[in-house]
Amino acid sequence: MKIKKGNKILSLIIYAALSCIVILGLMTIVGTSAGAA
Amino acid sequence: MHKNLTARGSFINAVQIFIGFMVLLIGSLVYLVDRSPQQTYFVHIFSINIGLHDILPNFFGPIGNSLPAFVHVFSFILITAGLLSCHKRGCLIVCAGWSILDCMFELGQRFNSLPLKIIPDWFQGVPFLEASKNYFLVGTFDFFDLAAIAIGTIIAYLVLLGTMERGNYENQKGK
Repeated sequence: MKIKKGNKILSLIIYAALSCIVILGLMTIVGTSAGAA
Repeated sequence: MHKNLTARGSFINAVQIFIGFMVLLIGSLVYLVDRSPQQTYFVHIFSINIGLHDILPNFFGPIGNSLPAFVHVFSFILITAGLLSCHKRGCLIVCAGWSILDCMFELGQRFNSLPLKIIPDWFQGVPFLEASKNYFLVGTFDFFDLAAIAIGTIIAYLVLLGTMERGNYENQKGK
């Protein structure tokens, strides 16, 4: 039971990191645009 | 146990994530070394000049034009697949996802009327989001960038296959 709970928390952390990576990916696309807005 | 556990019993594939971040770091050098700070939003927003454009000579040469397109798709495929510790099918989905996204942004520079219509006004003044309008307005579409995205996707998939940790942790533990 404890292992299952630990796995769930780890999965949540991984999915949170994944969301951050997707946001970072989008930011790095538009962030490389020419000049300041 | 979790179905996505690698052969070592890890939830993530650290090798893939490491390669992804290292390549991303090298790719960001293009903007720091080869391009002037005014040409790049993320260099320009720092109040301290982090650009090395005036200090170092042009390092990447003509490759520097399309290298960022290659690096972006390659790194983010590796980081995403590494976080999910994907198997073959998962890798294909991740490759397709980032490839389509990058191609759409590149094509958005060629056909920019639709993205410019979609971007809301409140993006102005929000860090990074404010750059999205300029990305489609000032950014230049290049067929070589599309080719770089395609090559980056293929090479990323091959690297994923090479660094994939095959086997099931539970089975290996039982042996």
